[in-house]
Order: sequence, then C-alpha cells, then structure tokens
Amino acid sequence: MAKQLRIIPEKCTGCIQCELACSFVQTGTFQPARSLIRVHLFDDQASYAPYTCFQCDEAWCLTACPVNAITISPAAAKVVVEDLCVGCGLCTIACPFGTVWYNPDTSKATKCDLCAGDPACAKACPTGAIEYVDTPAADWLGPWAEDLNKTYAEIQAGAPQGGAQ
Amino acid sequence: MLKLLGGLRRFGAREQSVSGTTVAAVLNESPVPRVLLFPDGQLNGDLEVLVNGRNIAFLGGLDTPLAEEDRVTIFLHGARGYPGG
Amino acid sequence: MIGGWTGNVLRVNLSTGAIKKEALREDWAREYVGGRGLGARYLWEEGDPNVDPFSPKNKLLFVTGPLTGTNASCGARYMVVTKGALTGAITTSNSGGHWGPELKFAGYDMIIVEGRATHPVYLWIHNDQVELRSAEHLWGKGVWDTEELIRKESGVPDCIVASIGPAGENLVRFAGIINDLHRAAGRSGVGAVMGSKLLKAIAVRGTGSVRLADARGFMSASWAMKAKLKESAVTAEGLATYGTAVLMNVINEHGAIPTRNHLESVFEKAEDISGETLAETRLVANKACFACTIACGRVSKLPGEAAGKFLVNTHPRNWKIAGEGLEYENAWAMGADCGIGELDALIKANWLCNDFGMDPISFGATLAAAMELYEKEIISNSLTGMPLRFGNAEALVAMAEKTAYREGFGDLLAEGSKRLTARFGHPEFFMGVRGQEFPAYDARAIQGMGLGYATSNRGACHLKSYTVSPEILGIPKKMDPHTTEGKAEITKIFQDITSAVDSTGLCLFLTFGVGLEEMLPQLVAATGVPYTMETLMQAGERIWTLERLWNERAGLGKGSDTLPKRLLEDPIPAGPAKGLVSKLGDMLPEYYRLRGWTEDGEVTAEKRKELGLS
Repeated sequence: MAKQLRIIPEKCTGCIQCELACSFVQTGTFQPARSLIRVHLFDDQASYAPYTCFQCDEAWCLTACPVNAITISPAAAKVVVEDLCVGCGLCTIACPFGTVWYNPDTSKATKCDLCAGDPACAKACPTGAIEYVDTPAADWLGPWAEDLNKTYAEIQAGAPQGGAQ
Repeated sequence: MLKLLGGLRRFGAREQSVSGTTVAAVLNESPVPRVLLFPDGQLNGDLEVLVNGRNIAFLGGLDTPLAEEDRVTIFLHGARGYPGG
Repeated sequence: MIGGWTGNVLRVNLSTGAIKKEALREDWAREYVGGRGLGARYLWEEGDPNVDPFSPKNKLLFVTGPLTGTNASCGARYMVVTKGALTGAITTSNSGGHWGPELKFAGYDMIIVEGRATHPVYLWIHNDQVELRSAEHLWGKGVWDTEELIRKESGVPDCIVASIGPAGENLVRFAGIINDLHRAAGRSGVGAVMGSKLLKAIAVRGTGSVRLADARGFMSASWAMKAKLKESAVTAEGLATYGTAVLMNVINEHGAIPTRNHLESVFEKAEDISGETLAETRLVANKACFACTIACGRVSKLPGEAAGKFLVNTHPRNWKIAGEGLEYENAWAMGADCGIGELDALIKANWLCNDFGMDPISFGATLAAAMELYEKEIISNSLTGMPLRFGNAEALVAMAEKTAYREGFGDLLAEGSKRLTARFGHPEFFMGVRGQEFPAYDARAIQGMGLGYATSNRGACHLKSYTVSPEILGIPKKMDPHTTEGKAEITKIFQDITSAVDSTGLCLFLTFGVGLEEMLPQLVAATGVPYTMETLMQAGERIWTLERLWNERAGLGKGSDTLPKRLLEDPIPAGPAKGLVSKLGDMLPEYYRLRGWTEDGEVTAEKRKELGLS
C-alpha cells in the first residue's frame, strides 16, 4: 500500500508552517502563495485545516489532461511533468478539491507530488495534524466539516434575532 | 495542604490534604510521580515548589519544615526537558 | 538587500493622498534590525516628540522585522510605532497573527502613515497595487464587520486586515489596532492615533516571497530552534494547553496579583478565572500565529445562556461559535483588578474589546480606578449611571460598549485612569507609569517588575522586561521576588534582549524556551548580516536608549521613573507578600549606573557616542 498524507484537522492550529515548508521546497523562499498545501482559516468557526491533493483513485486531473502530462510517480503521487504540460489549466478545473494550481511564474500546472516520498509539510507540522502514513486514501475533512457545520447551525438557530437591547 | 497547578492536575485533585513535616515528605506523599519530581534524584528543575506562596529556594529547600496549616503549591514550567514526554 | 528585509518602504501621506515606494535605509536596518528598533530610528528622524498624538504631524509606523514572514518559529510579528495617545511617550505596540507576514509577501518592510485624511479611508495593498479607498461605509463599524466587508468588496478574500473599531474612531485614549479579528497592537492608544488620521484599516494581500541570504543555513538553524522549543515545558505544553492564563493561579499563589485597583494582592476568585478553568469549561481549541510552534492562542466559546446574560448587542455576528481569548492580562485587568470573578463576563468583555478595538488591560484598569472612586463615594450613580462596585460583572460588559462609544460615563473612562482620577482630585488612585496602567503583577511583591515598570519607555509594561521569568518562573535562573538584589542588572539585560527580539519580527514568547543565542543563527542566515551576540545585544541597548532619548525630549525622561505612592508606601495587606512595599529607590541608582547614565538618569554624551546615536 502506498503512503498517504493523512490530515487530522482537529490538531491544526492554523500556524501554516506546512505552507511555508512546501513553498520553500517549491521556490527556495517563503511564499505561501506558491504552496501546494493550503490551510483554510475558518475564522468564523474557529477552525483550521490543511488540505492538499488526496492522491485520489479517480485521478480526475490525470484523466482531464489533454497531453498526458500527469503521471503517477514512484511515490504513488499524481505529478505534473513540466516538460509536457502546456498550461491549459484543464486539470485545475477537473480537480473537485481545488488542489491543482496554475503557477503564473512558470505558466504550468502544479500540485503536490509528496516531495518524492519525503513530504516536507508532514515534517514541518508541529502538532501532527499531517502524517505521512501507510493507509488507504480517505476523506479526511468531510466528517469533521459536517460536525462543524452542524454545531454552527445549532448555535445560529438558537441565536436571538432583532435589534440591540 | 497540597495545591497542584496547571498540567500537574492530571495527577490528582487541585487541592488535597497531604501530611508531612517537611517539603520533601509532602512531595513523596503527593500523587505526582517520583520520576517527574526527582528525575535524577534531584528536584526537577522545571518544577517550582512554594510554601505559603514562597519558593522553597528562598526558604530551606526540600528540608523546609512544615506546620499543619502550611500550604505547599507545585507548578511545572521551565526551560529544560520534561521527562516522561 | 540580500535577504530577510524586502528593502521597500511604503510612505502614505493621507493629507495629500500621495503614496510612494521608497528604499529602506540599509544602514538603519542593520543597526536597528527592524520592527521596534527600525521604527524608533525612523520616528526619531522624522517625528516630533512634542507633537500632540492626534495631530496630523504625528507619524504612525507599521514595521515588520527581517524574520517576519519566515519560518523562524514564531516569525509573525510586526510593531506599531508612534507617539502614544495614552502616554505621549514613544510607543511600540506589538501584534501577531498573519498581517505582518502578509505585508512582507506584498513586498514591504514598513508603512509610514503621515498626515490626516479629509474623510475616512482605508489603505489597500495588493502586491504592487497600493491605493487609498473610501471607508465612509465602514466608519462606525466594528473590527469584525470591517474585515468581512473589505474581504467581500475587494474580491480578494485572502487579504489580511488590520483595522480600528469605534474605540479608535472615537479617539478612546487606549484604543488599539486589531488584525486577524482578534490579534492586537493593543496598548498606548495606537488605535486612537490611527483614528485621528481617519484611517480605518490597512488591508494587505501579498503573493510574493521572503528571501533568505543563506537558505540552507536558515532552515537548519530554524529546525534546531524548533526542536528546543519542543523541549521546554512552557513552550511545548504549558502555553499550548492553558494559554497565558495559566499565570492566574501562579501569580495569585505568590500573592502578587493586583486586586481591586492594587488595594490588595490576593484574589479570592483567581481559580474561577484561571487558565485551568478556561480550559476545562470554555476552551474550544488553541490557535497559532503565523509560523508558530507554541500556539498559545485561545479560542473560547460562550454557551447560549451565558452569552444571553451578558448580551449587549444581539448582532448575529456575536453568536459565532467562538472567539479568541482569554489571555492572562485581560483576565486580570477586567477580573482581579475589578474584583470580578465571573469568567463568562470576562470572555464577553474581551470579545467586545476586540470588536471595538480597545486595550482590555487599560480598559479594565481604568474601570478599576473608577470603581475605587465609586466605592469611596467620590463619584456616584448620578454620574456613572450604574453601581460601579468592585465585582460588578454587568457593569464591566456595559461599560465596555459605553467606553468605546464615549457614551455617558464611558466618555470619562475613555480618557484613561490617569486623567480620570486627576479629574476627581485623586491622582493617587492612578496605578501606572507615564500615563499607562500597570499590567498583572504587583510591583511590591515582585521587586524587579517595579523597576521595569518605572523605567519602561512606553509606560508601565510587563513585556519590555519580563523579570517575572526569573523572579517567579525560575527562567533562566531563580531569583527571589521579594528582594532587590541583582534586579537592576537583570532588568537592563532583559530590556536590551527584548528590544533586540522585538526588532527581529520574532515573538517574545520564544524566550521562555530559547535564548537570544538560539535565535541569532536564523537572523544571520536570513539577512546575510554577520550579527554576533555582542552586536545584537548592543543593537538592543541602542534601541532602548534611543527610545529613552525620545522620551527625554518629550519630557517623560528621568522625572517619570517612579511608581505610585500606593506601591512605594502602602504595604501589601495580606498574603505571601504581606508587608512589602516597592524598594524602587534601592534599585534605580544602580540601574542608572549600569546603563551608563548620570546619577539623575540622563543619557550621557559618552553613551550616545558609544551607541552611535547623534
């Protein structure tokens, strides 16, 4: 079985060190805008979770690519082969999770490649919210998000309406 | 009386009566594990121990004598390692 | 510049609308590092120590450090530097979150705001696109609404916003600037200065990068420091689990917690408002600033009925699942200092302070002084509109809003406790230095803090020389809080180190786990400047001294190095520190001597020459 990035959203503190580590691998500088893992800061719900390519079995990006520029690496990650990529952006649309990006500096698509088997984000995470483990791919964020939404809806339902007291 | 603050409360009630005529005796009777209190046979540098709000470092150390009504407070912090993880 | 700094400064003149990008003074960057130091140097050059803080001539600086925006653990910080509305002294107010790093990613080290706009505006920065936009529709709104609206209307939802709320707009003397909804450049009225300029917010989106001179060296130094942070019980566990409010019980056990406007120093309800109780009953999660491993931030919730009890505004926004807080200083000022032991009231009031953009420390301490005036029947219901007795939690929450809007008695509270108590003929009820209220440590019970408060350049402050560290926590070594021995030396050292750390862009909480020696390699690797411990400590001393020189010119030099009579003459009535007064007089002369100042506390010409200060 291939190793996956397992996300444990409850452990995320929103520090974005994963973004910094990833952007460092991509650019040699700190540039979160180029990170291939993003932390969405749900400030309204006081929750944070990192998300990146789930390396899903469906491989939407791979299927959508008109020039077969996305292949599967030895680390079992879907990777963009830069030489073949023509920058059409179809993969960025095809991915239902939004974790394929278009890099304006290179004019190519870009996505998580698991750092060829040694993912920087997992090492950088101080709380263990990102683990690189032998496990089947799964929907790490779904159940957690559902839970959050339920609680939020409950609170909103209980909130008084009307003007200031 | 023994008071535990912060993370030490995982070992016992925040306040409990513990008998002992010296600070060392009270620490030995306390629910805090010995490996945490005396990691190398010495008092853990990450622990501060107070008697009635005064640090034992400025009283008699571990040999500080205690009366019935004295209050020993322990809290954990510090810049060194934390044995036991 | 090679790395760390971007080399760019944004100069915004609100009077003319002119926006310029100019080169950072590299020599000043090297000598003063960044953040607090760099801001002081620019303000020294361009500002006027005798100007009114609300004058268009007062400059408002937002300054990052070279390590802001890097992965140096806790590289989140920026400083607001200006002449403080509360104090008239040079003020340096620090904040975390994500705003500082975003400014670096947009490509700027610092923003200098000058003049005053003719109508409310906000500054929009999106990489190279920098413009002033109308804030007429935002004026009057709280911080949270402002952030939400700017995110929506800009079409750039990832932008990070620093803004003022009604408190800053209404020139509340202790109004702050809030970023990321709950992070604050809180003290000394920097928000009021911003409000006086009709500047509602600065919104930033940056997609650029922060470069490093020696990337490999930086990363290995950074990893090493992170590992050390994991070893320290404070930074690895204590702060993450309980937040800074873990200090409530600790300080109370030492009998050092100022209670009811410093009338006492043991608070019988400390446990109820402690970090432990917060964690057990109200905490949702902890939270980190940008790049931070410590994650001391608190996210807490108020269950339905509790929020209902302390309701002031039924806006649905206030029914978010949770908000940030409660920190120790806030819990102390609005809690112990006001004799209030109801955690829910404190959480609520703290959220209000964040949304209104107001410093909870000065607000709570000012209310405490008002409570003493009320209890001693110097003021009454006819003026206050409600019984301002110690312990009145409803009054706390009600007064938070009244103060932000300067309504009724809130208009008087908004002036701060120095002006408030003087107005009613009892200046001795003011508990502070240089016009700023004390934070959460009684100077009689922790002698070194008394010296630190008396000599702090921005007014009474715990952060500028946090000798609570050795005196209570035993970090880096144990010192007896009741004695004055060695306190002058440790205070000077802490002041200089803190000045240096505050200038790098790193968070001061690192110092609970690592020393300046551990931070140094990252600074060198990032900037390419061969700082050593000597030169960095000297930079710290230079920064401290420059701030002092500013204050001397503003008439807030040696004559202000004192403490209120209550601390110098009234012994603590009960508890472990019973009978103690502050022995400031025993420490001050040695402090001046160690600083190389005159016996009177004036900076000498030799010292200025030594530090390269004109």
